[in-house]
This record gives sequence, structure tokens and C-alpha cells, in this order.
Amino acid sequence: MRWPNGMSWNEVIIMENFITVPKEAEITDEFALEADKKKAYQIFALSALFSAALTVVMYFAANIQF
Amino acid sequence: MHSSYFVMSDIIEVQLINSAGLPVYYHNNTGEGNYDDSSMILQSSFITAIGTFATELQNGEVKLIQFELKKYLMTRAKEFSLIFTSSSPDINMVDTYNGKINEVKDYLDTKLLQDNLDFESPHSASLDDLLIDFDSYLRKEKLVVGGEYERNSIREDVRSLIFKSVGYEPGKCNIGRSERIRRLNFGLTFFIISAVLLTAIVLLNLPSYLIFGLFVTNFLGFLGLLQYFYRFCTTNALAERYVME
Repeated sequence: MRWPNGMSWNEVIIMENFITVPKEAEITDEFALEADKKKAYQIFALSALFSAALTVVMYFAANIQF
Repeated sequence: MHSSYFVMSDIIEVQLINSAGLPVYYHNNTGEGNYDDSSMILQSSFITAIGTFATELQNGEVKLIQFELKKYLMTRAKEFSLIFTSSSPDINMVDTYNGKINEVKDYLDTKLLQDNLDFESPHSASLDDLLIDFDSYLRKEKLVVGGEYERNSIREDVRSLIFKSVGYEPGKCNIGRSERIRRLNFGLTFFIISAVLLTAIVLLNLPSYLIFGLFVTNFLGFLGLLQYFYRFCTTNALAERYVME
């Protein structure tokens, strides 16, 4: 059985106990930074798209004459 | 000075582990590949664990560990653990190798005594310089042979080790559980604000074009929701960091 990050139970247990890694840290790796920024822009674009669609739906819903 | 009793061919690996348990230097003299991520995680963690127990329980120092037909000769140079792996069947190895290991330890201690230099961070420039110098020293002393010292490759592996251990995946996941919940709450709050404003516009008979202003609150609502579902924070990405809390 493995953890979602691909490590085995034993590895995780050992890592958790004996290797001190920061839970919060700056990223300096160029590849990681680029991948992160790409994903951030994707999320911004999706949010804008869904938001525009929902706003239009709201507009028409509010203008329906019963 | 070389000790005449020292049998160089017995040493198959040399490694240096920092106080956080992260391997910062590794060389394999047999040419059987370089740094193996998964086995090195276990090896360096295990050695750190044994060393920690020994210090805490007996205030002592482990000098030899034997497992999987290998012997690990250990010493400490300031906050670092220095390990020589040997395949020698000699059961009196500690005595045999003690002189040479102390020479290396002394050399490293002298280098580590330099003030105002950061050797603790696995990515510091001072540590890079120290390790390049250390590698040259080991080669001069014939403790390390063959292959070139690839500091960048080891740095990459250590970095991937750190990322893996905290769960950070570039472009996929940069926040932990509590951070995700915060973003979910953020998104839901803005959806509620959006619904309240829409209701107000309709009930108060305000101009319907004002509804387009709800794009902003809807956007923030979706932004929070998508960050929750994707386990990814856009602000962290742009601020070049991860928060795996």
C-alpha cells in the first residue's frame, strides 16, 4: 500500500520522524515555478469562464417575466 | 597523511548527511549508478534515527552499523554525519579505519568552523563550495574514485525528496488540507454574497445591468472552489511558494 504521493508506508513513517522538512517554503526550482504559474493561470481562466457563464444565467433568470 | 593500513577498495560509498537527515553528498565507488532516491531516503533516515537514539539514550555516538552485508562507519563533523560504507568482512573495522576516518572528520570540522556561512540549508552556495572542496579532498585521499562529482544532480534529488515528503507536486498540488478548507470557505462565502446581492437587485427593482457586477463575486467564488478541488493555490504559485499545512 502506498501513500498518494507515491511513497510507501515505511518511507513515510521514517521520513515523518527523522527528516525535518519545511511545511511552508519558497520554491526556487525553475521547472516547478513554471508548472505552478501555468496551473494558476488555468485556474484563473476557468474561474473567469464559469463566472461569466453564471453571471449571464443570473441576468436572464432575473429578467424572466412570470 | 595516508595510513598504511587503510584499504581503499573496501570503501564502496561515502556520504554526508545534514542535521535534518537529508543526504547532501553521496558517491558510489563501485560505479553502480549514482544517487538512488528511494534507497537513499531509507538509508539516510535510518542512519539519522540510529544516531539520534544513541545520543538521546546514552549520550554516546554510533560508530558502526551493519545491515544488508554492508558496514556503515560513522562519525560526526559538527552537525553533519559522515558515513563510509564498506563491504569488508573485517569485524574489527572501527579500529582499523579509525585513524583515516578521524583525518577526514578533522578536515571537515576545520572547514565547517568558518563563521557566518550557512551550511545548514541543502541549497546554500556555501554548502555547494564546501562539498566541491570536500569531494576534491576525498579524491586526493583516494577515498573516492571514478565518476564526476555532480552537485546539481544531487541537489535535484534532494529537492525532489523534500517535495515528495511534504506532498508538494509542481503544477498539481501546493496546499495542504487546512489550506484547502480555507479556500473552500472563501469560495462559498463569495457565492453567498453573490446570491444575497442578486436577491437584493431583484427585490428592490434595481437596474438589471447591475447583475453583471456580480461577475466579480462569482469569479472569487469559483476561484475558491477550484483551488479547493485542484488542491492548488494561485496566490502561492505567483508568490513562488508552497504551504502544505
